Amino acid sequence: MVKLKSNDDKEFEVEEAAVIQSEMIKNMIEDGCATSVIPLPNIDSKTLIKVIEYLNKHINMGKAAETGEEDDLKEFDEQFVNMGWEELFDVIMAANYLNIHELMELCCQSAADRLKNKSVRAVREMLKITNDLTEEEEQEIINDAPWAFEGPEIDDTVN
Amino acid sequence: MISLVKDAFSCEMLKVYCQSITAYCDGRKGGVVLCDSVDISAAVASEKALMTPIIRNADQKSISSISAEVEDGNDVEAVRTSSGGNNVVNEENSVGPCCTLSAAPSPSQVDQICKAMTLECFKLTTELLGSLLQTICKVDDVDSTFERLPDCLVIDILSRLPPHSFLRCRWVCRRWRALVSSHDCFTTLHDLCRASTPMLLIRDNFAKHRPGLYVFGENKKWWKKAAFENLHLRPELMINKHWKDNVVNLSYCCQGVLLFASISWQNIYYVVNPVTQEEVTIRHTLYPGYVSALYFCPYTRQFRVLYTQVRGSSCQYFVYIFKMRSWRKIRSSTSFNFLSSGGNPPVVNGALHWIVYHDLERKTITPCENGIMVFRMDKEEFSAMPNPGSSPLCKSKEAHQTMTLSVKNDRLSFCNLLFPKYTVDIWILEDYEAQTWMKRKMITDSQVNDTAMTVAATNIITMSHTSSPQAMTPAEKPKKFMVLILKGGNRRCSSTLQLNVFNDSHLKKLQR
Repeated sequence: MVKLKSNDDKEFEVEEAAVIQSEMIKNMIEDGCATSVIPLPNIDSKTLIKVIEYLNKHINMGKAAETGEEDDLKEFDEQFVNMGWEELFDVIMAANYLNIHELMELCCQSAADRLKNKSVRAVREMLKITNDLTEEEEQEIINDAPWAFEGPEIDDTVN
Repeated sequence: MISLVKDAFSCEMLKVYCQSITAYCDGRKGGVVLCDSVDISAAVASEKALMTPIIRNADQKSISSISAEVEDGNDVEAVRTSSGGNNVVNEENSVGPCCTLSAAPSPSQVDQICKAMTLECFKLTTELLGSLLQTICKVDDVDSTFERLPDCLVIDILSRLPPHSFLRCRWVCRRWRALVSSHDCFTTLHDLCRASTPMLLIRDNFAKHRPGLYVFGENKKWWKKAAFENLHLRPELMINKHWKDNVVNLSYCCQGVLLFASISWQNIYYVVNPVTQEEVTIRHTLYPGYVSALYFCPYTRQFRVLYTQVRGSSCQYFVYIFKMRSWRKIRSSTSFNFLSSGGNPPVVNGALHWIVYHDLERKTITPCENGIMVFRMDKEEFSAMPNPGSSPLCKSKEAHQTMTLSVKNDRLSFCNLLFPKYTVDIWILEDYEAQTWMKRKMITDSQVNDTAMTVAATNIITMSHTSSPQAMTPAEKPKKFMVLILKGGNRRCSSTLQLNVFNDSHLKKLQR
């Protein structure tokens, strides 16, 4: 078992087989630096719980394909990324920090799927980005690639 | 004080601190309270007096003016007059400048006090801000969802968008515009794509109306259906006009950048980046000859085109530099007279590799001892090496036509289709320097047998991993060994087109 500590001082025990999916922790264990608690100053307990949930589920990723559990995993993944933007970015940053490739893939792809075909207005609203471009700059961008800004597939809804 | 002010760095630091110290924590209100102005106060002890002058609106003053104010005789006078008497704290105006003096200091003492005071002042502000800044920063973060993500992660996410959505991102805000527009980002972007999901560009020559280009995205989640999308090219592009007339051929691709050759005019090539929709038209007067490669040079971080000019029984090689829009002759120490195969040359160890078809000087002899042609990107030098298992296999020049090279796990791999048994030999170059090849696999699959097989044929152009140029810095490479087989082409049109991905030892049919 490996002990992880979130930045709000909560400790979590995780099986080594699960936690070595994180390249960072795997390296730490290999280098013998993981004898006591591993502090994770960038991750809060809420996010860490999510990440551990994922790690535990994906503990036997390789075997899943053989035993026919892939549908189960697929369902879990779909449920897993069903979260708010804030939470999703927290998980992405945690996955990036811990270097968990599969989780990064899953979350980044999910983020991209949500942004796919959205209108500029919708993207700004979803991600709470303030538009800091001037009108001339905007016009310049549109003139550059007008075909990118029109078309029936553009989705203006925010969700 | 003077020395402190002269030190530009500390000056700036203090200025920044002064400007940002416009808030304080209020436990009762449960958050950070912004102030209209900042007053700095410092307590200075001298032999006879304790001075606590206040500099008002310090956030709006420059460090030199704060310094001047402190050093200013008038201000010190004011401080002095407000004292009123020995050991008296001015209580009437508790927020104003107050000073506790046991005796009026002499001018030299005032000077000393001032010096000590400014130093104190600096220290105080620094300490105060250490605790304050943390709280302020945390509060600021809450309403900027996407801005917390570092650039590399934003690119990772945006790079997964289809070209339309990707380009639209430039319109969202300045940061995104910078990210999406930069050329470096685009290169790394494709590196990222390569590591995760191979993206294939497929030319369908059997379409009813005209040959089309399709982007084939094998989903990372393999249980999902693979999807085909039409490759979008902006109508204004020159390539589109020629494409309609069916006079261009997709010849090469490298990191998602495509090179089209015009059929009607041998001296024109179009290089297109489908994601940024940029196009460069390359002209030359070097024919007869042909383009041997479109490659990305990791040393200069530029795309290059390699052109082979045939002059009777010898060849002259040229490199096109996009930045200069010009051709440069390659001065290779050894002269080469080989005609190479088509298709994207695999990049291993910072060099491009081709199978040699003909030796221009000795036309009757099979080019086995120089079966593989090598071009080093750093020195721009050509050399050759023998292909594996040459002597018993190679009986004719035609045998070389079924040989292909690719990259597996950062190593050069050699694939040979043997007639008439339809078996495939796969060799891996274990040691690049010593040129030791290892025979890895021999495939005799009945499924292979009945397909009209063209291994790594020109019909399939991998936009991604098999032409990875980053061999010098081994990045993550796909663990699968993919051989793509197109079949069903001779039946009806594109609807019957089947794709088989050869994954190590299982032939898997992809759903459409």
